[in-house]
Amino acid sequence: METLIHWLYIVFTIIFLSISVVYVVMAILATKMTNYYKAINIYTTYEDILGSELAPSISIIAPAYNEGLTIVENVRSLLSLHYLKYEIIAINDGSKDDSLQKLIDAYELEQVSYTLLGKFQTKTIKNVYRSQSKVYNKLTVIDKENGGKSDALNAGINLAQHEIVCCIDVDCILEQDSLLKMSKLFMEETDKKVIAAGGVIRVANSCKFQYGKITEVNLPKGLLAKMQVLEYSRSFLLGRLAWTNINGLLIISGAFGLFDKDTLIKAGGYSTTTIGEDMELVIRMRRYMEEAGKPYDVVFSPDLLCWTETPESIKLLGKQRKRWTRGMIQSLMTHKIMFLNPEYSPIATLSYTYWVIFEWVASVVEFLGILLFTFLIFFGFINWIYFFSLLACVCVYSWMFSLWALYIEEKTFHQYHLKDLVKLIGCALIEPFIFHPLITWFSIQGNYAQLMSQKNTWGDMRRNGFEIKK
Amino acid sequence: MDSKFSIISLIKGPLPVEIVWALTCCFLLGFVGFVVALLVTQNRNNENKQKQNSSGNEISSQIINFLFENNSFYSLMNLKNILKNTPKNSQTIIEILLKIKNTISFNTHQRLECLYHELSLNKISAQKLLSNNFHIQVEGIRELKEMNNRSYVNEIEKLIDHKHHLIQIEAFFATLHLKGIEGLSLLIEYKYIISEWHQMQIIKMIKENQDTSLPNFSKLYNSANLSIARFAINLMCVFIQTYLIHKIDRILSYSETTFHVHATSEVLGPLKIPKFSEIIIPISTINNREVQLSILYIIREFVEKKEIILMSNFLYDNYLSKEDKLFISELKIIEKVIKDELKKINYASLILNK
Repeated sequence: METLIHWLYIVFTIIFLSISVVYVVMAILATKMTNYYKAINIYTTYEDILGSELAPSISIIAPAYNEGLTIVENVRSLLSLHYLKYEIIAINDGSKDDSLQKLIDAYELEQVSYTLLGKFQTKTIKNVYRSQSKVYNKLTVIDKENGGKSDALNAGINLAQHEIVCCIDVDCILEQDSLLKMSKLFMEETDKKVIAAGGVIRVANSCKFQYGKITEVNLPKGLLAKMQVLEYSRSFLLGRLAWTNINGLLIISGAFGLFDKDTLIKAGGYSTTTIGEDMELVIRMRRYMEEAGKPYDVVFSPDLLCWTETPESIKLLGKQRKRWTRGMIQSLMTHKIMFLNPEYSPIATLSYTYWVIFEWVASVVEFLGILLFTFLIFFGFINWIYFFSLLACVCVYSWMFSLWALYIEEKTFHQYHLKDLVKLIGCALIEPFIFHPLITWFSIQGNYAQLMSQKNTWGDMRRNGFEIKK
Repeated sequence: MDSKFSIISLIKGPLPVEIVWALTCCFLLGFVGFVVALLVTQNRNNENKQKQNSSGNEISSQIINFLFENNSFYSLMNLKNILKNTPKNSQTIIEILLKIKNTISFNTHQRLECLYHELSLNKISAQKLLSNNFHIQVEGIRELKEMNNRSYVNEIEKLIDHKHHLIQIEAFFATLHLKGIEGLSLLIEYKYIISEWHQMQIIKMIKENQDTSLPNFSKLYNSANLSIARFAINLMCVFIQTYLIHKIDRILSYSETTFHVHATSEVLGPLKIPKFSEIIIPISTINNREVQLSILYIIREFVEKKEIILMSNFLYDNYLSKEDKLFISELKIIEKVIKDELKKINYASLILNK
């Protein structure tokens, strides 16, 4: 038994070391990318884009389901964006609440006749509304039967008139210059076609807003939300930036992502059979470009562009993470042909393989590891030297990685006060014992639900609404 | 406490355990390092913010006085004193100058550039060109470019051959910018694809530098670089140089079909040339279905209905295959647009019945 435990220890150590080496490499790549981005954007006047004939035109597509609490304020935020060539298409996806009526009242909407430019099959569109007021002439609202987020997005794309589509969650608040910054990424295209672009999303809980703009950045009060601040920093500032550095980014967050409409349509639009539609779309667009032999880029901006509300209760967090895990598995399974397939470019294959091993399998291995340790403790086979050494190594590594992300965050945004940073350091210290096991557990639940082929849903998320400064 | 659980007994163990503990120590060092770096960065950022708030306000008001008040001499002296007392403020002044530049009218730019020169800030920017850090070099190039400082154009031009790609590009466009309209000829030899972002910057520069007449952009068609030729077309459209349309035939010497499609669509679309006779001569050498279809596609968007018929007739009689399915489908689209008129054309109805 002792020999077995010894070998298990070595196996787990090797797995952990592989993961940590990959993450350190990623963090280095991300840091380099941040520096590069900073250099190319020094003294950049984004406002030049406003008056430029070459600025790309953008259709913002915002699907909403039972978002009555925040929808009027959120659309107002979209209407106040600093950009000229854009339209907003808000989609009421068969909401059961008063979302549509609130929009009609707030923006003086009237029913209009319409022509669908796209050809995606969607649930029936009941009506299309446009505002009679010139102030809101950028706004179009689609009222359709409930068909899920992907279906709603496809309906929006069918009506979109512009060359780039910006798909967002309607409950997000965009920074006012977000479209300017993102359109620059498309304008910088050279020999590779920019097919998709994303930006940093931040946790908005406890922040204050006025007229659709953020006026006060605060660290969330709840512990769970604080942990998610850390998690978002790691994910966006280390993970996604690293993949961007080597053009291997496989996911653009559904909360805020821009896509080349032509490629999006050719790739087949959003899949209505998966709940991880954001990731699935990027993989499919990449696959389309790879198979067509066209050079392409998926880009990401380390600029802070979008604010979103994160779940503050364990129940809601669980629902969200289960959905994310299932979405990831469905996306990866749909495109399993890319796994270690030399027909695709090395980076696309590498990125896909990374997701399979590090984002999917790793959580299962971790869970099995926890089970094994519990078993060993229970039956008295545990070797405490092994246990504590590995536990300490994993924890300290996790602290270091979180601090790395916080450091980049401070360098890039400098938004939190010292006391908030100290709180975040505290969160980093306890995260491996509280938040991480929880996330792993939800991930296992997601795996189980996927295995049992449970029904896909929008995943109702109760919102507190953003705090409006009077 | 049982010796089994003492710290030393936990650390001492077989080789793998010792390796793991060694790694833990490294990670711990990393963690402490990042905590220190984080706190130092936070402190530095706060200090900079405070400094910008205190000295920044003073500097801004002096610059505004220099630009808009009569007693500009005193403002200049005050700014010189600020620099003399705290030389570290030079970077703050440069940043404020650049910020102000973006908020004031073009007419006042020269005065701002003059102030930059008077305070010898151009020397500080030029120093950055010699740095080994690409960040700093890019910063220096941008400062000199933005402040339109032509005295260092040769130094910047030398950086076009720099090993770092970003510096190459920055140096190239800064040189082009600083040389003004005549710098456009540099583009003929430019070997990389020019992005729309850089195109936009050049268009801005031309608009700022144009006096009474515009240069003839058609010479850029001679570039072997497709993206430059496309840019020339964009320029023609932006500055509405319809008289250059006859030179479009040069574009057709490029072998890439997609380029033809793009070129014709970009010229015909934005310029909205209403008479097909004006474009049919230069495009008469096209013997490519895609290009012809793209022309049809664009033409139907804006020309008068009778022009569409003429255009369709002309292309049908001279260039298009009568069996061409794509052409037929295109005609069907046109038919939707001008249903009544198209019915009058006998051949079209024949094709549409196929």
